[in-house]
Amino acid sequence: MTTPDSQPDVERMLTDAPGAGLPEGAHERISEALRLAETPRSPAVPTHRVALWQAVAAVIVVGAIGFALGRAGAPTGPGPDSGSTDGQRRLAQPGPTVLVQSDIFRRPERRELDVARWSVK
Amino acid sequence: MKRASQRPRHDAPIDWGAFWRERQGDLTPYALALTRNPDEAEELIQVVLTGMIQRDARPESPVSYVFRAMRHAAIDRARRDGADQRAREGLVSIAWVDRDAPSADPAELARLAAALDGLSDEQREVVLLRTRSGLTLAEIGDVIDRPEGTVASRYARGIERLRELMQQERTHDDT
Repeated sequence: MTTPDSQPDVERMLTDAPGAGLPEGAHERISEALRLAETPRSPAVPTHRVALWQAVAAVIVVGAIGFALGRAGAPTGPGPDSGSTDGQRRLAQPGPTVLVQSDIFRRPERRELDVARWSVK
Repeated sequence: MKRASQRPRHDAPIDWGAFWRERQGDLTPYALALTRNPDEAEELIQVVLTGMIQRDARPESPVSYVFRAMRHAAIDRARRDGADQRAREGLVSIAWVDRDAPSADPAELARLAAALDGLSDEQREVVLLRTRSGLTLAEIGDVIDRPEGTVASRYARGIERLRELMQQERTHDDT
């Protein structure tokens, strides 16, 4: 029968008690995982990101070309309200519009006709 | 208590690999107690420490910071797996005790394990963090988000209760 004097201290027992361990090799695996996590990233940009930016750049370039061509093909003559006073009868209302096929995008665009060309003298 | 974002930080990066090598013996019992499974304990430690590296965490007190992260991860996992089971068994188990290990007094080891199981969940956690993981009472308070006085009270009552339970076990075995 144990006596109070022979009872080992509880705190000492807790400190000295055999503890269960992690699976075999766990310490090395964790150390390796930490080492890999600390490795700096490669400075090279991942290839999928390169392809993505290339696609974005292509869309921007094509869009800019199309815009420039579209601007170049716009009518340059005087509009219906240019203010000419040579007696030409002009339409009081805005000129009719027609559908014009764009050469680049083949998308119909509405443009106002230069009705001054067809003014009745 | 200050939130983690309000606490002061280290200026220099922390070598978490060195931290793991120095604190393996302290982190393992707590991880086992939280997960009840050696494989999950390994996973918990790895996930928490690699997360520290990825976030470039530089806490003023790395020890309590890591233990607190492990505790929160275990709580989140318990909520996903089913709160009822953990509510019955408690957050911290006695899975860290190797009851099958060769011991000078196997009977005493068995009584210790049984006595630990008889503590409240809060007492068991504080006793474990103090005696096996080597945390100070202030660090434990930081981990469980309680004042140091509360931690000291739980620890003292936990040790006293352990003595009572072990004495009961001895008396029962002697008769």
